[in-house]
Amino acid sequence: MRNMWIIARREYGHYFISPIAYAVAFLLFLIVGIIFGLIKTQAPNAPADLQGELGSAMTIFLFMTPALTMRLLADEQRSGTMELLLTGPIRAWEIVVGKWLGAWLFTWTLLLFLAFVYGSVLTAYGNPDYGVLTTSFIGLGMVLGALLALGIIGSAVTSNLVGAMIIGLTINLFLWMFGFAMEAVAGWFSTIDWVQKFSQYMNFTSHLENFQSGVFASIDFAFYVSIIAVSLYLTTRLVESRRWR
Amino acid sequence: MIKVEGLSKHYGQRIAINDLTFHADKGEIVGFLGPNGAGKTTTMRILTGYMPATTGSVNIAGFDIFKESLEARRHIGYLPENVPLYEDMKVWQYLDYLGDLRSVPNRGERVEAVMGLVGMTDRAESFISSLSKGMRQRVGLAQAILHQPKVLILDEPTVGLDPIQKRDVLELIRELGKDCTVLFSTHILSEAQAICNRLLIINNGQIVAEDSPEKLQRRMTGGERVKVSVAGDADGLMQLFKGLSWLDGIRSVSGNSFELDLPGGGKDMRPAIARLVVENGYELLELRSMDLNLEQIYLQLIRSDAEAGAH
Repeated sequence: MRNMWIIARREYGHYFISPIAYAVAFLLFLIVGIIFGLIKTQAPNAPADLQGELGSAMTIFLFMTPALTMRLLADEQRSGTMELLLTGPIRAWEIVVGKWLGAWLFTWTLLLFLAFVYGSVLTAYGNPDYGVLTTSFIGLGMVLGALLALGIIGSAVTSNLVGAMIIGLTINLFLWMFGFAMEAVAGWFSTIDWVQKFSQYMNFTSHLENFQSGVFASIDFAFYVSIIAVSLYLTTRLVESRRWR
Repeated sequence: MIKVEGLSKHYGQRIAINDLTFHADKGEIVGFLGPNGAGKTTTMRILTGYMPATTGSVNIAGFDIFKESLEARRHIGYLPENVPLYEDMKVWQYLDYLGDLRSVPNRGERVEAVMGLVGMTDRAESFISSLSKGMRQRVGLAQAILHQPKVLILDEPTVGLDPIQKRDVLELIRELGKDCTVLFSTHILSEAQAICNRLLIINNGQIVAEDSPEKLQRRMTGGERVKVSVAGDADGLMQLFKGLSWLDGIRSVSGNSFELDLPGGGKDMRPAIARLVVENGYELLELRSMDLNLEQIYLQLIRSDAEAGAH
């Protein structure tokens, strides 16, 4: 447990000297800023929320999280430092969870920055529902946790950074598309109850929409937490399997 | 401290190491010698718990590396062959980070002390990416000894160092060997001779010799092995040599050539051999000291290994 935090702290710190992380942050702030400007100027009487802005942030993250996760394990593998970690008194899961946690905390930093800036602006010029704003950001944080956990699988599969990123991107996009596919499936079997429920549960974006409308349901948490848990478990097994090969 | 029994590792059909059994006690420095690809790195990776073995057992400081891996790993300091470093860190940051992961007590002081030991104190603030090969090697070594391990496993710690750095590193290993068990691999015999209590020579995944440097040297190095070639049939001469009780070994190389192992001790026995040959009516064609290098020692050991296997 202690080792996990030490690794998380190092990875968190590493993002602040990484140009890739700055590029991700730049793009995120730019696009959210543009969309905020567009929505709020085009529809001056729109409600003081961040629905559209955070929805677009989610799309940006879908493409950008693999860039944040690609080096996490691939770099250790490439430079041989994985050998150092695995021959030290450190468990494989502590490495994997620590790395993921470092990345997640970094993205939380970005979210808190957004929350602070736009929260202030909305407060100054409108009358926002702070409850909905809070659940929206928490929802986005959960989505990020899931996307990062999926991305780290790619990083465990190969020691090549570009390869790791492409694998992560593929997994992210597949899961995203899978949600749409499930919607179609649900349409075909509109009379069967459990198909409806299953398709609803497996939809990556619908859970975020619940958070964004201020709903704080355990099923939505469970969805993202289960993705995180399965991905991190799988990644741990992949890291362990490297030494058994 | 290190106890290895019947260790084998197979990669599919290929046998990387085969039935290794050896041990290293506290305060011993054991040199692990062999040409590239002999199985040194594989063995070390198994010993440090990085890889599993196909069969066999490894005990480190009283803990089974497979069953009590985490405990065993606490007592190991390991310097892998390619010196794994985080390029983006400063020297002290790197040591501090690894010390933290290994729960080193009084970390700050210990990091200072270790940097002093490897002579990197003045480069503490340098980024690792800016260091030379020799310095990187020393930082790697610092990392291995940081937590004062009972067992130190070093994979070719002197590779890429200049002669002075090499001497310093060997001196450091000798110093460290007083408090812990050191197993280090090299393919340079003289290095191993300089500091080891015992040498293990490995080839094709098998131990072909295990002895103290002095004994191995007496067994194998130049000046004490001579090649004798005579004209004509030499069966009788073989009998004559066998009659000499002070010879350490006799080997027939071809029909009329022999390799004789002479005892150490300073006295040159070559005139006596020459006299013996001539006085018994043989014509001496060649009497030559064999200057063996490590490559020849391997070849010779493998040859005798194969012969032993054939019988």
